[in-house]
Amino acid sequence: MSHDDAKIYDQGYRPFEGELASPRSRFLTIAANELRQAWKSKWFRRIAWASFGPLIVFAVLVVVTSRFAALGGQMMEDVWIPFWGIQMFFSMLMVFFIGCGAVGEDLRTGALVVYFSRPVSFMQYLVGKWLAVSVGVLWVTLLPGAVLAVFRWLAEPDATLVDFLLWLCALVTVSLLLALCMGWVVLAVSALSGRARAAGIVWVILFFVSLGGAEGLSNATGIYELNAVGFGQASEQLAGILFCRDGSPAEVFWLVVGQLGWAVVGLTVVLFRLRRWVRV
Amino acid sequence: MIVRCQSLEQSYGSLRVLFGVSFEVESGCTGLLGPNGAGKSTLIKTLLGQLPLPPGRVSVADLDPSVDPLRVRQLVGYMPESDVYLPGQNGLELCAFCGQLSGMRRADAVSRAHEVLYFTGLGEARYREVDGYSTGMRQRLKLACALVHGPGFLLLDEPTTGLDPTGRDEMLQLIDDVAHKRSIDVLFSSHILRDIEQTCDHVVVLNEGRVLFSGSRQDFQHQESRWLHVRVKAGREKMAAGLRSAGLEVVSREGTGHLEVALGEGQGVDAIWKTAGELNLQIRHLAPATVSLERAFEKAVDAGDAQ
Repeated sequence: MSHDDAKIYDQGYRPFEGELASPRSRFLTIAANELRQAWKSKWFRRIAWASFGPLIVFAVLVVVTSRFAALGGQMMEDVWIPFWGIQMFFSMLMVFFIGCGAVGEDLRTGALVVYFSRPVSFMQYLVGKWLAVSVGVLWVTLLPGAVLAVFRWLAEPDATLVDFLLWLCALVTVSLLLALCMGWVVLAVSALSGRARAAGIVWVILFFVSLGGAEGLSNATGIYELNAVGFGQASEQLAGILFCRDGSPAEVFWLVVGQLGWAVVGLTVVLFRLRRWVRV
Repeated sequence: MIVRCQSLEQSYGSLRVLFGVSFEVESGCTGLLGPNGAGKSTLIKTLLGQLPLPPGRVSVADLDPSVDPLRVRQLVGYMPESDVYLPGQNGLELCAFCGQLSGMRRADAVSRAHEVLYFTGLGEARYREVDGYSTGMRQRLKLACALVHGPGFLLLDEPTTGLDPTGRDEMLQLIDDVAHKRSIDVLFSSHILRDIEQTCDHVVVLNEGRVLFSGSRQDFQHQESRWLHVRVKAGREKMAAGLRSAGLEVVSREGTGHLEVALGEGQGVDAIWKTAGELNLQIRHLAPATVSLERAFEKAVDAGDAQ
């Protein structure tokens, strides 16, 4: 055997003869990759599974209190508000793992060149990153919420199909709004911070400020609409109104606008940080 | 024709970078030569459709990057100059992800990633995180990522940057193998002339945003040579004196057995034959002197600056 035959790069390389898919679905590839990377973290996996803990607790409560109510006791007022509050906290944690390094680390390591030297458009990159964060949010809000809705419908004697469908509509609305809002806010924080750890700290602070700060402001001034200033508080208030069907259309309007406003601000920040690649 | 550019202009805001660039790249291995700031990276970004340009000016594999940039990027494998990686991923994951971004199914991408990583000599290190790779390993990884989706055309931007001499030789051998044994067309951008000389059959010479030459590397080196090698049967010094009298520049190199004769403006080889005839000397060898690529490039740049 000659020396040339022994070289490793004379072996193994063959032309690729498979098919290359159309570029239209590249955002799914990007989202899947983000989720795959997040899943590597044992803490992320633990949080993802632990987020179903409240579902079990509330499902048991629903079943027990419906039996208790059948015996003449008082039905638990509503499970949705405390449930939503807890799941929002899990959302914050999921977004921490998936979103805090999503854009900033790409900027820091020059990974944008990897993306945009491939058949990936700027819009697909953005949508893919946002979708990954949104899947995390929906995993801890929509999924357990839908299961809880089924439990309530089956366990409560007075619950009708209409109630179930209204709960589902409310759940989908608040979940999607939260995913939209949290997604773009965390991507903006990531784009500004550059490092995942720094972005994570900022994100957690922002989340709690958006909860307590807005509520404090609204209580201090007596202006309900100020709840919309904080995306966390706006989501919690909106969930309370939609699930309990107790609130005015004006309140719903401002709470939705508040969250959409945060989403728009987040998207604007991301577009500004990535302006060099916008036309790719 | 793999790449065709016609009167290409590029600017970054008010700063013009490319001035009416026109050239064609044929099949094989083509070197894109130019000093730092010549516009090589800008040209490559234009070919990838990353910069705006009017339609019809550029064609890559019969596609217009201004019209269908995504399709162009699907057919092209790009190895960037800068250090690029996705944090937290190992070599295999990054290479497979690059394959998926180009449109491969995940199973195909993972399988191909193994193949190309072995091909580029990273087989043993493919499960290590890229953060821990040496410079040479990162360069090989970038080449693997460029090859993973089986492109017919490779764009390599300074592939030997940061490599030690051994790493450089290995990288050039890989590129030579890819270009000449695997039938993949390559456009190899570099300011290191010896790299181009070692691997490329054709060159495009850029300086300050303008094309100075586009064509065969041999023609480039001969074109810039006005020097000829002349060997006579006997009477070398007599021939040298006669040529000097005829107004030609002559260098007599001891040990080589021939004279180096430079033709001036408007002078041809007739002057040499005429001198030999007058002195009754027999010319045994008369051929253009092959100038090194480096010398040819320096002359081309000087000539370009003078214009």
